[in-house]
Amino acid sequence: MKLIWRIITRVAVLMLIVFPLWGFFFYKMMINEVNDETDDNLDLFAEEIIKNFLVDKNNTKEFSWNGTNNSYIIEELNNSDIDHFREYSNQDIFIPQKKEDEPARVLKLSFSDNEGKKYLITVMTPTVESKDLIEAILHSVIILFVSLLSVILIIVGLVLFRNMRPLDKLIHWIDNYKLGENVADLNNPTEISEFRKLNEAAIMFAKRNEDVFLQQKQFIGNASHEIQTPIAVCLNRLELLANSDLNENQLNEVIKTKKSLDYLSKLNKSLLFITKIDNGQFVNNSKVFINEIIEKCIEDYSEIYSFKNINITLRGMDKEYFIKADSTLIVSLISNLVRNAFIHNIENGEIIIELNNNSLIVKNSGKKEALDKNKIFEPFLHSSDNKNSTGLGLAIVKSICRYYKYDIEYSFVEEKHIFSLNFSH
Amino acid sequence: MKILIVEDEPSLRETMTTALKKDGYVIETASNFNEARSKIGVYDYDCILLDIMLPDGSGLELLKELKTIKKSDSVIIISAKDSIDDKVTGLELGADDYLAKPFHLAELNARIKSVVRRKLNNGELAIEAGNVKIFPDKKRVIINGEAIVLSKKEYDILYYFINRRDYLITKESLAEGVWGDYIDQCDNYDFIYAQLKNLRKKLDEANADVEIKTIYGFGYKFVVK
Repeated sequence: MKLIWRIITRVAVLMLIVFPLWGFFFYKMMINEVNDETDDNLDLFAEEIIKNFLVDKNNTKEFSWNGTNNSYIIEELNNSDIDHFREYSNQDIFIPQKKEDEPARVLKLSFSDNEGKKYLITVMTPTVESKDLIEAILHSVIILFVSLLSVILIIVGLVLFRNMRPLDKLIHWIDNYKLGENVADLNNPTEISEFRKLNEAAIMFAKRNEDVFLQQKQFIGNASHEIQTPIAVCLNRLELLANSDLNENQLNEVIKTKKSLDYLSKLNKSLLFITKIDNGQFVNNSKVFINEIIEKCIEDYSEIYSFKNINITLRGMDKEYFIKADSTLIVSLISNLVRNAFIHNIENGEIIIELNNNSLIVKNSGKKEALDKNKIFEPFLHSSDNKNSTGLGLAIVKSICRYYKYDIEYSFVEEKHIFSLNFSH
Repeated sequence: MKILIVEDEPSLRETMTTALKKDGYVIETASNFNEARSKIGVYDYDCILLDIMLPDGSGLELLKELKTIKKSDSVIIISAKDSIDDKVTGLELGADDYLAKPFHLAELNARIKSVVRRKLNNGELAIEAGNVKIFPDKKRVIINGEAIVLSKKEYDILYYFINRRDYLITKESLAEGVWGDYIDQCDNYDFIYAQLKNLRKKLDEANADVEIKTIYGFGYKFVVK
């Protein structure tokens, strides 16, 4: 999820919570205000009627329907218990002019005249108008809420989008950065100090990374190179020794030592090979026919691993497929993948090789558990049961893929280890 | 047969000298560029084993010089670099073969034989061992005057052995030499036994007076009876 969307959704969610609360209180307050106003009017109206009533008990007519829909009733109270009674309520009352019930605000108020007689006056005012008002307020609040929300979100989005541009650019730069390639210029001027620092840090880390990578590469290259000659000397001396008059025990020791040295020499050659790939020293591009290489590999390895009795299925081999690349590398790439499928296979196992447009898929049976996707291409990830493996085969595969920008992926499906190689880049 | 070894590493120079002397070659050595240059200028050699990286110059320069003074000595470049560039440049400059360090002495011997043979006979003549003759160009084998039919692998094995006569060959070396470089992770060599069995049978049937001896537990040795 992009930061900008995260911020916008967070703001939206918070506002969806806060705005309705605010709207609710606003609405409540308005209603209270409206009711207050109505009640005040009722008070005034009641007061007026009471005044008139007290002056002349029959002269209250003119107040009964004075253009408003207010009405009143005055009753004499016989029960003298009620004293200083005042009660507001909402009721439905019958309006004679309209001949129907309408909601109204009602005030009941007790009062007494100078003779001590107690009356109860009931004053009513229809609340249709105030209801309209309330509805209008509600509508306004909702419209305000929706428009405020969208405007705020749009503004936040625009502001963020604009201000995050340096960050976007930096991330794009980081995406494009690949270890072992030159560090591209990061032209990302910004006045924001955080972004400036990020820019500087990114460039610094990339350069440092590059330095370390280069040093390591050179070190491995130089070291393996320097090791070649002493190994050659040792090997040759042992060979001389093996061909001289030795007894069986001595010969045994010599041969064992030679085997270890052969292994060391192979390891060293593989390291040199990887160094050379990473240094881009393979540039003799020609048409390389994938079919041929696969068939040759299968032929060789099925002979060598015939003792495992592996069932081999080839698919899509009828169509000739070639790529432009250095044949040394492609042969190494494919034979490492195919060999891998043989080495880590079980007896009576299975290998399926599929050559489709631009892709080569090698499936093999083997250990019944998936390997660690992230580590499988790392050098020296030995499986403990294979003492002869240099642990560099898949590292070489990875190096070649990195060099040609091929995609290589490992997966484990239906108890088969699957390597998918995609030649298109 | 005279061979010049140009190699700055004394220990390697010594082992190469010892091994090649045992194989009956006359050996001279040079430990640096100038020494090699003066020797090349004065003497003729059948084969020069040339290290590319010398303390006072590049073996490739020496190779160029050799060609300018129109010497026809065969040259095998020996380099620790195992770099395609060096190999290509070297071969373009007229080297006959390229051998990367580290190498087996048996391998070196085989390369020298093959280079010298190519030069002497333009690659035509057979390699002989006892009554066995191999024509590498046509991949034909004649034993006791009669052509015999070998499978591709059987031929490769015989060719490998005949070039490494009297050397103890481990089965790993044989597998690598015949089945290719990528064999290194194998821990079962049954496939070699099967091929060897067939080859021995065919050699016996043709009354060959050569033998691939099993040195039990170590490997093989190709000998003329």
